[in-house]
Amino acid sequence: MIKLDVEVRNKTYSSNSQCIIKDLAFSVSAGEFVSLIGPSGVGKSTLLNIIGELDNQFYGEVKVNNSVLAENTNSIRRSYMFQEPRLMPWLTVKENIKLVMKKDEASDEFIQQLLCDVELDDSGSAFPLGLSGGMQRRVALARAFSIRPQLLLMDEPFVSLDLPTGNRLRDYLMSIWQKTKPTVIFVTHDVREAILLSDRLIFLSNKPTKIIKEHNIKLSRPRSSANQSDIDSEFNELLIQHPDILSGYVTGIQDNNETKQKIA
Amino acid sequence: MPTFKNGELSIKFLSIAVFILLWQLLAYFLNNDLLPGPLIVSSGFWDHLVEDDLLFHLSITLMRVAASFFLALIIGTFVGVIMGNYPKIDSALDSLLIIGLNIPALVTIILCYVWFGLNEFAAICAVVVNKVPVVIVTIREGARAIDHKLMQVAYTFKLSRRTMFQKVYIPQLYPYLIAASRSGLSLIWKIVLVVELLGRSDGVGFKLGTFFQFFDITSILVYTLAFALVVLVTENCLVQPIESRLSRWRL
Repeated sequence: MIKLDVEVRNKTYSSNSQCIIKDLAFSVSAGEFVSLIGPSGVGKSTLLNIIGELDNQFYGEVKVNNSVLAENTNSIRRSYMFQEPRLMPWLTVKENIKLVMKKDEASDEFIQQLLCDVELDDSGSAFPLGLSGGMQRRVALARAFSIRPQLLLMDEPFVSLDLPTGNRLRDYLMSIWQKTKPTVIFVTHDVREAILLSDRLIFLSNKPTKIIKEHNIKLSRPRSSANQSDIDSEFNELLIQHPDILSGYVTGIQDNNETKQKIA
Repeated sequence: MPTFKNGELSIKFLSIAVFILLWQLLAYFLNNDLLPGPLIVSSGFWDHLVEDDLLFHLSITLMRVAASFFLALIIGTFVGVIMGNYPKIDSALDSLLIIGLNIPALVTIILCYVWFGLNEFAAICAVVVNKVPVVIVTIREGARAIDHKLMQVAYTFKLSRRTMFQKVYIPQLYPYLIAASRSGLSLIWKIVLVVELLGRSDGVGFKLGTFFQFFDITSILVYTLAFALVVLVTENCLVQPIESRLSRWRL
């Protein structure tokens, strides 16, 4: 598994020269599930794109097991699940999964097993446009795990789904993740979702993005979306401890005490 | 009316049948050598097919059409993708492209024959030069409309360049390739005949020129008929099956 160190000293978009991310650093230990939480448009996706090597226009460094990511990119298995399913509409479900796999690993049984894991055993030869939005995300989830990732990047992958559909997908994610435990960076603005899934929450401020708070989740695994009461109590506890945390990230006002503590 | 219930195919046949009927009526009432009726033309068609060299000339023309079609499509796609992806190259070549689009076919044909001689190369070259700009314009639109988000999937999952091209990039160009092929075929049919008329001693265009000198209207219509048949067969047995195969994922 993979330990990740991310340091973004400065990320500025050249089009409007606005600084998106400044002096942001965090580490993720091997097999850890970390959620990045922050309001829309604070550069969470940008951060994931940097780790996913889709964006190399930044000052800073991403390290994987203590060596530079860009130099070792071929030796790590990294998956990325986007906000949209992003399936190739001209390929069937099976072909979409096969597309990202290495040829010698793409056995039919393995793909069928993946489809079973997301309860799509019958849809292997369907085209994505014939599937519902929730089913397309399940395919995207199966695709993300098809390469047996060591590092999995997820950018609000269950956004804009209704609650039951979303919970079903979160449960799939939990059960598949449990098998191999890849390191996950999960971006969301839904705190309850983050509590359900993660080992640790990282709260981000408004632009330029900084870390304002980290919080460990002590709930035992395996977890399920059925345990709403645990999630609620964890959520309430978080709010009692840090009544300012939500307003902090909603309005972008930083909690100075927190920052000072971290520096000390 | 059972013919209508069988759907599109019978309607297609019906329109052709009505056309032939009108043609026959017109020929009957005019009763003039300048408009032979469908009966005379079809018996002439049989004569040309069996006793003359219609098949030979038709196949020569088809070869030229095929060769220039694929050359134009390959060159046009290549340049179109480059122009669609690199704005600087695009603006550098844009004026040339406009000129290429609007130069009359006759000019390029004459120039090709003058410069390269009355040979096969000049003939094909003239057709390709006429067609390539149209392909470029279509494919350039396609290259500009490439979905960046799907390309990101290919990058982050580290697909090989070959796979990325075959499975992610080119499929996005399919609609544009089909459009370019459609318009390309119809344009090339027309230009190839002019090319043959002006500088070749075989092919449908050459034969039509000969018949014109003898005012042999029946033979001209016979070749037109043969041509129409080939076009219909190509469309129904080649273009449409390929098109529906490539777009079967659309619902």
